[in-house]
Amino acid sequence: MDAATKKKVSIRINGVEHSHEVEPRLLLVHFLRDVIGLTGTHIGCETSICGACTIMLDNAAVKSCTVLAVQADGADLLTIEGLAQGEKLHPLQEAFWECHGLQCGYCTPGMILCAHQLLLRNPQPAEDEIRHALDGNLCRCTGYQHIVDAVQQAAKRMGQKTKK
Amino acid sequence: MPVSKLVGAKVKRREDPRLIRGLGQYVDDINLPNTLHVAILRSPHAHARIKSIETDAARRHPGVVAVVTGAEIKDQIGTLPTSGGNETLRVPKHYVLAVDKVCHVGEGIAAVVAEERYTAPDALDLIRVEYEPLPVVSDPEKALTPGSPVIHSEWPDNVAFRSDLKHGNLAKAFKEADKIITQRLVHQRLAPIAIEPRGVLAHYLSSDKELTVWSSTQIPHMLKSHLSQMLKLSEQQVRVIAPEVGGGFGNKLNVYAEEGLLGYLALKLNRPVKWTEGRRENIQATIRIALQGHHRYRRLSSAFHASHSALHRPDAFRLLQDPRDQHRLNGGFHQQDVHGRLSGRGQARGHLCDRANGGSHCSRAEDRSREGAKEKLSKTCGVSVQDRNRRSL
Repeated sequence: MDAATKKKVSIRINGVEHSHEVEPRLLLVHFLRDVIGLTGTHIGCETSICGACTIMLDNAAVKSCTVLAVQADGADLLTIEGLAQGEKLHPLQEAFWECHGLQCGYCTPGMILCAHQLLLRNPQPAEDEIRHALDGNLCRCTGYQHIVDAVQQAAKRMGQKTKK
Repeated sequence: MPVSKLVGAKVKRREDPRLIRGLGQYVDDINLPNTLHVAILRSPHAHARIKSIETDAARRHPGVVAVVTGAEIKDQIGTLPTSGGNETLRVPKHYVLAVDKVCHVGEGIAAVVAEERYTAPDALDLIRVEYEPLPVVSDPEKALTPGSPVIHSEWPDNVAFRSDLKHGNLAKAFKEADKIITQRLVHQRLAPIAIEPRGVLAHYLSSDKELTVWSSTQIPHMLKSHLSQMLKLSEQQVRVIAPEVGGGFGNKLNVYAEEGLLGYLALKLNRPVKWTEGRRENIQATIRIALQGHHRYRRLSSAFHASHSALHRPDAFRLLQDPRDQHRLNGGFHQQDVHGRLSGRGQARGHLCDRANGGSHCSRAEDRSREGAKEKLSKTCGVSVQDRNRRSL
């Protein structure tokens, strides 16, 4: 593409500022994966159905396969790579590991970030609230039960931590 | 750790730390310098003759490195081999890109290789194909009838294989039966869908004459053998790596045209090439199977027709002709007299998912018949269907 038609975007990703010239049609998920090199955000359907590409954009979970990089100009993003604090896993990551909330792991980054949004909004969700919140994220391996268990366990641990 | 300590214990998986951090390396996550991107033009027709393909505009498109069609490369790369089967199996000539005619929706017609991910599909839009649609048959039983359109030109009819399993004296069993139940069963098409679509990255190191192929596959060893046959390389020259695989459920249990095609392109262009399947492509070009048939219970007699894909993988044909699948007609229950007959034919598109793997079809046939026998058995013998199941085990 002609350089003149490219647009400059400045996007904060996991606390780091990135500025690039991109084609206006470039999908945010391809920006993250191909331009920035953060490949933890996966592509499953390119139609917003499966949720594998879910990231946090200004504290809201969005499906990055149907957002253009230029739409995210000026935004603050959190991807799966930014969730742990150094070597210390986020309670959701710990819980997915402990409760067998994943098998192949392909849906997991999107699943964890969608659950992250839920716990920000509703720190102690009931089981049906968890299932409703994760409705837009598909997993083909686990049958979801262990994913729900993992979110419940994370909510419980995070609640205990807050009380202390 | 002794086994006793593992029983009932919660064991944390060793692979999870990388997967929950987004650090797993699936095929599309692997990036080699100078990688070219491949997109494949696919047939919108279930059955059609290819009258002409016009690729000049695509070749001239900025950023396009190569465009290939089936006719251009058919002498340079072998058809997809099969790894086994019974003596009745017919293996269709399955080219990596269609030659002369297409046999199913989604069959590859031409491939574009480009410098950037978005350029390859841009150039696909510039390829013009003229088709002459041919008659289509989408019902497996109709595909068997005389006069049905024949999908593979080199075959006299659409039968891919026949397989008979016989045990005991079936005629006597039917003669002596208290009741014979005949049922017609149609099993829905199995559609294994993994969240990660398929993908292939191929790299040829000319100094070592070694081809490395990363594929989202469940069968890297078979892929290595098949690639060496197709590309006329020794097995020592081919290395296959199955990195993290984002689900498979059986539809990554076949060697696919794209794996051969990407290997060929890497050799020809001497640069790494990558193809990542889109979801729409996945639904069209990755294997499914349907099954329908008649089943008679007492003891057990059945005739099934497995609806395989038109061109679909010979290895998929192998699954239903496998005696193990036929034995599943017994549904795990002891039966004295058995006659199972399976025939597969090229027709729509097919595959067995490993969570079902033929077993579910066979078990269903068995269970449905048992249910049909329930009323009669309860009335005449006072035996509940549960008791009947228990006694059969």
